[in-house]
Amino acid sequence: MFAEVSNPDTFGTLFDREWRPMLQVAYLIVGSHAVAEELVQEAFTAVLSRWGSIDRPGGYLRTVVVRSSVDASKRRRREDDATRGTRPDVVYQPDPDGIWEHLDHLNSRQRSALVLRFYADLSLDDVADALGCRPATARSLVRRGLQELRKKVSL
Amino acid sequence: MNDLENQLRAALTDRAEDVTSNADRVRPALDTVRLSPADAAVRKPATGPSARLLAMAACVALVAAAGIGFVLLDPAEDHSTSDAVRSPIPSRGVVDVDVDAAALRPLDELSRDDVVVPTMIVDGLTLEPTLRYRDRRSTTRAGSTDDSFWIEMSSSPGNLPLDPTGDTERLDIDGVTWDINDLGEVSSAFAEVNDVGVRVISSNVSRDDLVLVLEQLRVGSVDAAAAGSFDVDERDDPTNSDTVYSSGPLLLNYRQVGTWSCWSLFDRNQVEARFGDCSQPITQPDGTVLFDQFTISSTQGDPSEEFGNIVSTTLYAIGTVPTDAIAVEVSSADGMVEQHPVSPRASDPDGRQFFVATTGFDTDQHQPEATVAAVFGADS
Repeated sequence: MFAEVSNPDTFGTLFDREWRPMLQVAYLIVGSHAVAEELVQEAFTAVLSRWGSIDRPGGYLRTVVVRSSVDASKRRRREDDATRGTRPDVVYQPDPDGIWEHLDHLNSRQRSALVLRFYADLSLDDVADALGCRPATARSLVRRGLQELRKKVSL
Repeated sequence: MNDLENQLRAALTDRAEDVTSNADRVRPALDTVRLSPADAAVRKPATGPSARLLAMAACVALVAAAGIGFVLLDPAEDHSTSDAVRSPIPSRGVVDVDVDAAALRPLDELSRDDVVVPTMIVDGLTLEPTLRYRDRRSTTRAGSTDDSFWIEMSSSPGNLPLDPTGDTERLDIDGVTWDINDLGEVSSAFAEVNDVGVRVISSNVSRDDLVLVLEQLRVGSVDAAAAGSFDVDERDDPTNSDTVYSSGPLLLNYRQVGTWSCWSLFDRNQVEARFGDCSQPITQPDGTVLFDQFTISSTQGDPSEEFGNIVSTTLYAIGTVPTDAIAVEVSSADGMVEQHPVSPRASDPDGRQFFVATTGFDTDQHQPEATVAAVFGADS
């Protein structure tokens, strides 16, 4: 996950390799498939528009996706989204521990930190970089996120 | 890795796989086009990667040249065919969201009457915080961001502010006035008073986030964890976060000690703090009697590691002291000792006095810890 596509020759190479991982991360942060798709699409467009001037297009893409996803997650929490919970095109495996539902109760940054740490396997420094915060803050976000998750799972 | 972390990893992996496997079934990637932001997304199967990418590149160039927003057109696609697969979720801007209009009213349309602030009850004393907002651009402090707003919470008339300095960056809570922003940065706080049911908020946030704050205040259900971090992201470049202010929840712990209340409010940088046990009266060599001591300390792991990259921090403490206390003394771990005045509260039937105290640390060198003690005269 998130292995840098070192100097992809074409945008197409980047896209083919990164679309799925980016969609997965965006979805896990935002919780909405449709919003995640749009975010990832816009992120790729942003990369494309800057192609040739970006040193690390994979890293740039990841940063855009993560930060856009965090923003979208915050906005989504504020909106009384009539479509929330309706994902007619996605069938999910059962989640016996209810972890996924409990994640929804974390704040956006905690959730994002947990996704990046435990799904994307980023180091805390990389989590901090992706979220645009200090490593100590990233560490704290992960710890507090786990604490909150632990409380809810044990209830 | 412990069980919870394993469970979390498994749950995230499973859900991610579900999402992408279904997405593949519904439609391929990078063929989503929008005719315009006002139209629902019309998604069709890909017509071929090369043509698609070329078309996209051309369109992005056109868009950039025209300086307009997101409109991607794939000339190779026929958007009028009836067999187009319409996304179940339209693109943003099209969804009709059922929103509590009052909660999302623009800030400049809000007035005091639009927000109901929960009544605060502390030790049987009822306080009615008032809420006002002001455009932060009116402040004189350098470095303020233009799109931020303050909420000032002040107690109802009759409670005396402590700080007469006239500093415009002032927070009033329970009649206690704080001088915040000692570090030149904004303190953001969401405080939950345990078992009391009060929510006191002051934050420098973006307009959107402030609306959220007000909404939560309205229902009186701010949860410290849910409030969490409010970032003010003001950026054009999506890779440049410019997270100006990042705050974690501040813990306002309330503890009844004898006949008075002890509170502590802790650093915004996610310092978790706890009370030390109030000690027995201690008579100092000069006859001063220290009766109550509150220890504010970090409980987050190794402080040198946790706070090593924070240059300095400020710890705040507010609380009450007995009527015959003459001052509050704050002793920091690095040897600073400061005295702060106490202030009588005319409306407090028990005559308790409020104080607010701050002390600062270079936290890359010291554990942020301070002791706050009530100071009595030698003849108390």
